[in-house]
Amino acid sequence: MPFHRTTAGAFWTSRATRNIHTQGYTYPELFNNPSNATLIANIKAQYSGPSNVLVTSMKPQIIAKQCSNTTAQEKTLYFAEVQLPMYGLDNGKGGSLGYSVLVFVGNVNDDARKWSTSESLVGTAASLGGVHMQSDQIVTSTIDLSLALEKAVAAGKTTMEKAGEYLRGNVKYRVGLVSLP
Amino acid sequence: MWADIEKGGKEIRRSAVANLRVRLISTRVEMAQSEEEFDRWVGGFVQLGVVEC
Repeated sequence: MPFHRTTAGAFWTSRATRNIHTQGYTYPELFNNPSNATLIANIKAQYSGPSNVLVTSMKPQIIAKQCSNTTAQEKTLYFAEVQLPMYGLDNGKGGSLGYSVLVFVGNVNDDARKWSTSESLVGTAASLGGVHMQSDQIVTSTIDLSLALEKAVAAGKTTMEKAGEYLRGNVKYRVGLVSLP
Repeated sequence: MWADIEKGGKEIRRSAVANLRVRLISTRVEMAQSEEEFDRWVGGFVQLGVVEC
C-alpha cells in the first residue's frame, strides 16, 4: 500500500485518492469517467449475456407483482444468513479440515453425496480450514432465496403473502465435510 | 475440484461446529424504475427465524 504520495513523505489523503485513476487503477467500464448511462451500457456490454437479451431484474419483478403486501415500487427480498465460524475441524494431526454449510429450500436427501446436485440446494458457504486453524472468527454469508421462492409460488406450494411462513418451514441446512478429490 | 471443495459430500454433525448459526432474514428494496437504475435498499434486515439443521 503506497502510504506516501510523494518521495518527500507526504501521505495520501481520502480526497487525493477519491479518483482511483490517480494511482493507476481503473476498470474498463470506468475508463474516461463515463456518464451513468454510458457506464450502465458498458457494464451490460461486458458482463451480461447476448445483446438481444434484456438485462432486467425479471425474477424480483415477478415476485413484486405477485406480492400483495408490496407497493408497485417496492418488493421484499428473502435471504438465508449463514454466520460461519472460520473454524477448521481438528483431524488429530494438527491440521484442520474445512467444512461447508449447504442451504436448501425443500426436502434434503439423506445421502450427502447427492446434495450438490439436489434441486433444493440454493447455496453454499464454506470454510476452507487449514493447518492449526482453530479460529472462532465469524464470517457472514447471505444466500438469496428469491429464485427458490419464485419456483415454489409457480408450483403452487405457497403464495408471496405467505412467503415468510413457507420459508420458515422449508429452509434447512446441512453441514458437510470439505472433500478433496 | 473447487466444486467438490464447496459442496462437501460427507455429512458431519452440526455440533462439530460451535457457534454456527443460520438465520432467515428479509429486507425491502425499492425497485428500479428504468433500465438505467438499480434497485435501492429502503429497509433494514428483519429476522424471520432461526433455521434448524
